[in-house]
Amino acid sequence: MEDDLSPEIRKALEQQKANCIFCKIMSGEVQAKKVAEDDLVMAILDINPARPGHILLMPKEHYPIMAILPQHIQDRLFEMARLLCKAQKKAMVTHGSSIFIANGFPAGQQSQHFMVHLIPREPDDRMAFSALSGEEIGEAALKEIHAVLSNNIPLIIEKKLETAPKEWHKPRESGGQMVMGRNKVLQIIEQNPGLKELILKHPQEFLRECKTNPQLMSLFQAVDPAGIVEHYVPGALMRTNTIGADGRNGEVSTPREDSQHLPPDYSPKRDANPGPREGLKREGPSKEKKGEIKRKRRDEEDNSESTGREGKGSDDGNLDGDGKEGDVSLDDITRLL
Amino acid sequence: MIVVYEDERTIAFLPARPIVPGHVRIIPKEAFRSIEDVPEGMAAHYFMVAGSIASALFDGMGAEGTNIIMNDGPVSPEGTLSIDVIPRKQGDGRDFKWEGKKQQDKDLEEARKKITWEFIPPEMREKTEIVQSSAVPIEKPTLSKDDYLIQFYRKIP
Repeated sequence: MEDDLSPEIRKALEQQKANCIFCKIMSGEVQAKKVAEDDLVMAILDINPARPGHILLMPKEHYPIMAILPQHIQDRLFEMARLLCKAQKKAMVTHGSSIFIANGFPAGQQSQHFMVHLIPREPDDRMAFSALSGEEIGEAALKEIHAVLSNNIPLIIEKKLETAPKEWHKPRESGGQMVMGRNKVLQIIEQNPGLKELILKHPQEFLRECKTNPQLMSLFQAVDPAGIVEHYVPGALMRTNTIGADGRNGEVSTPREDSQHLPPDYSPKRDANPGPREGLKREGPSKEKKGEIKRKRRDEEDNSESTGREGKGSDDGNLDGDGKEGDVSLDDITRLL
Repeated sequence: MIVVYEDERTIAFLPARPIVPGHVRIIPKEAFRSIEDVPEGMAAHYFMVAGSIASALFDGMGAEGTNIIMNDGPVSPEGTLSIDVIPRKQGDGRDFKWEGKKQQDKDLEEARKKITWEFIPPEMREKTEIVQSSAVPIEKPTLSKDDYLIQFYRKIP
């Protein structure tokens, strides 16, 4: 898996590594209370433990998140975790044991060196990560989550096992396509200004495209495009019924060649301020306007190709966990399929 | 139970009361009460599945981070060993962090000795040459008046 890393990410990793306190501990430059070590992984005691006996287990090599850890190191790490939990439970005389992992800054990851927390536990110790129950969620949301996960998890596991085969595993023959949930679809739209503009200015045309453009069709397998239009342009579908009728009479839109390569934008604007809305006028988009969008998209594609690189390069020491998966564009998705 | 993944050894489902939408719980098919019961190699498999679910949450559900949390029987919401994979977003109002208490060096050293001692299989503890060649310094921990084994038995109801 580490061979997949781009030169930019490699460079950022090298810089992270140079400042990483845990890399210094691994190399012996900084002292720590070591409890176990082999050629790939090392376990030390946390000097600010959640409970006495709290162990930090990590790969010796610097990896920021679990997703880019090579599978053979990951397997070794968790076998070591199992043995250490056993020893720790006995040594610290506790009833329970927890393994805690944070992937990415939003999940509470504090160190850029991937690590696994092994924490001795008692049922009444009130650790926040043990309260794992919240509110029931609606059926529609459950359906979407099920559609996305039950499709994608086996695909990801198949891909993993291709590189690290297991004797128990029988490879499946049929390939499949990744399915996106609503939040992911919104992220992808934010990263593709051309697509966002299309939705904002010409929601009806966008809906028609969703029925014909193969890429948009694969993007909206589990999500209703009308709901996305409603998110960006509330009320648009109610007000534009007349346009809908026009559209049906009008020409059948064909997939555009330029939408095969929607530009990835590495600095998405998170404030989804729906921008200018003059496109909401009650007439359908004219041919001229379409040409304009096309041209604009091409321009943006060119821009983002040059600025996108820069954005990534300057990302030094700030790979906030989802550094790899976060920047998925439509291109990446098609590559995955 | 809404199952999102199943193989020979594990089953992953959406808990009835998720902490956030997208929260997935993995349980081994053979219900283990505690981590001591898990056979060799199995933990690696469970976490391979957990890591793949975390990737699926990144790739398909727009998660910005994930927590993977294993709790064994006595502290698990299922009563048997379980692993929760939780998608996270900036400012989602969830906080799983703990308040760490700084420990004295001598307390840390005592914990280190006890754990390394337990980590060495009993039959190897007496073979001093093996212990000495280990990358980690291993000494027999000195037991206080409150012998930890006695402590352990006292805790059993």
